Amino acid sequence: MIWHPLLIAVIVGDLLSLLLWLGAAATAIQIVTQWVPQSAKREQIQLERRAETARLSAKFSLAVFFLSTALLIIAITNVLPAIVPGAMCGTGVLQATDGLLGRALMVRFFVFFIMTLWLTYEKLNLSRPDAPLTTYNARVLLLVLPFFLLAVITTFRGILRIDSHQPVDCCAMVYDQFGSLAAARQIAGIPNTFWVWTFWMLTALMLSCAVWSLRTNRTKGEKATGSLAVITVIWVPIAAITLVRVYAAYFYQVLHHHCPWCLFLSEHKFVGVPLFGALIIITLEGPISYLAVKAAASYPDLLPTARRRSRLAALRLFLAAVGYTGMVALPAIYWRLLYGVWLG
Amino acid sequence: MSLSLVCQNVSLYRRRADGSERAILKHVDATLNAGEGAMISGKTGAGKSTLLQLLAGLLRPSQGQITANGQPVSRWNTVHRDIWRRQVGIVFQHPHLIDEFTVLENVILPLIPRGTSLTQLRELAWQALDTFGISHLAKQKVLSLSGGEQQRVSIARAIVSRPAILIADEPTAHQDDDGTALIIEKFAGWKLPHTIVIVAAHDPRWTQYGKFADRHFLLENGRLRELQ
Repeated sequence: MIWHPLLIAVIVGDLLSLLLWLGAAATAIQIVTQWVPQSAKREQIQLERRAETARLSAKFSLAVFFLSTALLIIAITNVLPAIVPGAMCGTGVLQATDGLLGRALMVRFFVFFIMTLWLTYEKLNLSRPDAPLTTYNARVLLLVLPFFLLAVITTFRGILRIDSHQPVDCCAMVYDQFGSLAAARQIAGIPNTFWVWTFWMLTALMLSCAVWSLRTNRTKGEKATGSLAVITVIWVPIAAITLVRVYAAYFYQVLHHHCPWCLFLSEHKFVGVPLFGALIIITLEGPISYLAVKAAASYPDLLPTARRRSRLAALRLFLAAVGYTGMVALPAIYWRLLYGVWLG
Repeated sequence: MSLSLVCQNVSLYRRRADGSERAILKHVDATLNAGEGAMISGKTGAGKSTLLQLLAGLLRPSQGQITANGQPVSRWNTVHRDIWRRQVGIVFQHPHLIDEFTVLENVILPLIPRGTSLTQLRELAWQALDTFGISHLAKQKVLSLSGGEQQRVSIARAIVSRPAILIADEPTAHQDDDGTALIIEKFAGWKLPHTIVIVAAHDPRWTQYGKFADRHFLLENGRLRELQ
């Protein structure tokens, strides 16, 4: 354990965020079991008031959780490598926690996804005075809870596990992953070229679906947004793989340095922040473009707002995808024009 | 649809310092329709101001609901209640004017979020000031006004946005006889086919002048009953 102020801030932020979410969850349980919108009895009126408080509490919790996640990433990428012996980037820090913080980050992103979904539903819900999605959304709020607990526990375990005395290999180990040069040029036995072409074809398909979702005049637009969500789910891991295995080389200007965390270092101009930031936006907005419309399917009054949110999601996804592809493609094209060859 | 404002079994409880509850309003039922002027009277502390704040959407009942055109506005979430409240003009017991602003600026204030042009804003504000005979005070800071003048400014501010529901709490408390007569006359004139006017007052002249109060309610011990 290292008592670094940033890690203490993460712990405090997580605890505060969890407490706020637990408070909102207590009300959510009452909403799921006792919500009777037709009744004007005292119990229902009190529950309606508590629902507003819980909504604020959960929103604040989401904001704090987002902040503590950002602090954790800053700690992993740019602060702890100077403290953990042998660590040059986030890879070394994760090794010093036996991979626990890596797992924590994965769970945290999943929690953040469901929280964002909750927030989207909440905005839809509040677009109508009678708030028809209240019980539905209370269930989503409750769904977050076990994953939230898991994320916080794994994060704390990871922070406690950081060993500042035991040296780590850091990303030098990525070279040991491959027995030969040929092995470094393939992923799961499939050549990198295949993954690159797949990435670009899926990108074209995803952008087309985003435009389709933006332009569709149908009231629901479930087909367009459904296709966009499915392609996004396939596109994101392939984009991440090609980034780390192929395009990162143009930032590092070194062959086969398959480390995602080095992209967050100052010597690479923190390029990992916009790149992975774009991936996160796409991961969130793709499914949300569909789920927003899907949730409103049973409530015709909500559909116009749901469609607007869905279009906004498609627009954000489109812009993030264009930004992302520009950021990965331009250095590669520049390199090709300068030296006449592709790296790797 | 014609405007209606309905209290359905509305109660309001407040917690005392010792933790026990006190009922400020108990099972209030009332229906007000467009074109009506309603007067609510009762002793000091009877809950008149509280009832007005409930009707204006500033407070929420502990039990029951208030509906406007059949919609349970008292139970709407804050966003929608705030939008609905734009239809309500409120005259508070205390004027609540901004001391640093002139009379005209104070009256213009409620119009600003409505996106009207500045010329139109000024025109509406001048009309409201004219209605209550205080247009000659327009450029003065409110601090230099008397209590009665400040009260008229606050009434002008309440009507400047042409609200569908006008709610006033003791609007003639600081007026002389002429001022009271003018305000009662103007309130009576505000009863249009699409408006509801509700006034809480001690002053017996509101009923004596006979033009304003179509309905007269008495609030006693938290219970509301209509006087015939």
